[in-house]
Amino acid sequence: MPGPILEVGDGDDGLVLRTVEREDAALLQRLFADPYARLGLHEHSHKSEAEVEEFVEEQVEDDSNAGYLACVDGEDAPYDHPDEDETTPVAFLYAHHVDRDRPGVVCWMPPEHRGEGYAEPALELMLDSLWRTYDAHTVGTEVLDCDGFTRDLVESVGFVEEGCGREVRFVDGEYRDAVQYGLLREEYDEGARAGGE
Amino acid sequence: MPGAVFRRGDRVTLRTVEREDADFVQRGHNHPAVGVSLGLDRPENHDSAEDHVQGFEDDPNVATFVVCVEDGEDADGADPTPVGKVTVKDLHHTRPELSYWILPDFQGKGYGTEAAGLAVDYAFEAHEIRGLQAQAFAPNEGSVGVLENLGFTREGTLRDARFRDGEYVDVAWYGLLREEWDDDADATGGVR
Repeated sequence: MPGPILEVGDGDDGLVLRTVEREDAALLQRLFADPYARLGLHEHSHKSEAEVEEFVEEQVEDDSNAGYLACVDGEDAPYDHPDEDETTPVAFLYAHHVDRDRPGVVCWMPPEHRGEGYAEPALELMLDSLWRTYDAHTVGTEVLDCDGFTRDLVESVGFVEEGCGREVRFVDGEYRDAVQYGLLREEYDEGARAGGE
Repeated sequence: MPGAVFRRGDRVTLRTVEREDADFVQRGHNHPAVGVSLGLDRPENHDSAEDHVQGFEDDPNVATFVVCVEDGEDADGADPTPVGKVTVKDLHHTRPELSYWILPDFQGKGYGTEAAGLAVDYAFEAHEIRGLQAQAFAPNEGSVGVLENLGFTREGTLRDARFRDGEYVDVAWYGLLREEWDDDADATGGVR
């Protein structure tokens, strides 16, 4: 299960960001079974649970990357280490190279939690945390043209389409286009103000 | 000195990179007009230039060449002058990445376009790739010009994506699909 709380959402729905722990490998293993989502992590194949534990150890725990699990806490969920019946992880959010010019954002939500309304506030919470913690000027993300859920999600928080690599990835039996998105810090700040936050 | 000729164009050759070319690589990478355009942000000493050469040797998904102008003949019938470098990396990807640099004294003469074109020919002939991609800092007209000359399509502009030369600059992304290269070759009768 995820670890301590890093960020607390504005709403009263219990949405928080928690640390990713090695024991969350079983959940993240599903990300690597999703042919669209794993591309964001530059992976083209599935992984065993042990390999995903390695991913947590070598990449999520690396200081140049930042990983979060968005969770919906129950009323009595503790700050530090909730049990399985005290919180529900609903999304994995990750940024690589937070120490460079343009960190790359990856967001994955297990299908059973899509449509519950948590995706957008979870990604916003993660971006708030990124801008506050690291001095990145912009962030970017690459999403397959055919991945409508993730495209809608990143556009909803203000990512701007900056380009489209034609047939740049071979996924799910076809060469597919990948859309490049970028978001500047000042755009995000303006968007947050316009949204009345 | 660079090694054997791997591909030959009208004016330039692509030659294999030898360990002793570390001197040349180091000269290019440290030159402000080259290194800054490549996104290199710190000095490279001779050892790290050698590591760079050896690292590329050890990577099976990289093909890299010294670009030479063949402007004379020595006793062996060749007198190559190294003027730059061209590389195709991530050869296992759907669209590997092309990159190149030419020393400032030799820029503006079309050597970059000719050398990169030879590398594109090689990449499509030798590897079952779908296409190629390349990126350049948008203000770098020479680098962008090479891609436009070769018929790459501008697929995107990543705003303020890199910090370089004291400011944030846009990064231009380019792509070229196999049939676009073949069509181009047909249109020019196979001569570029």
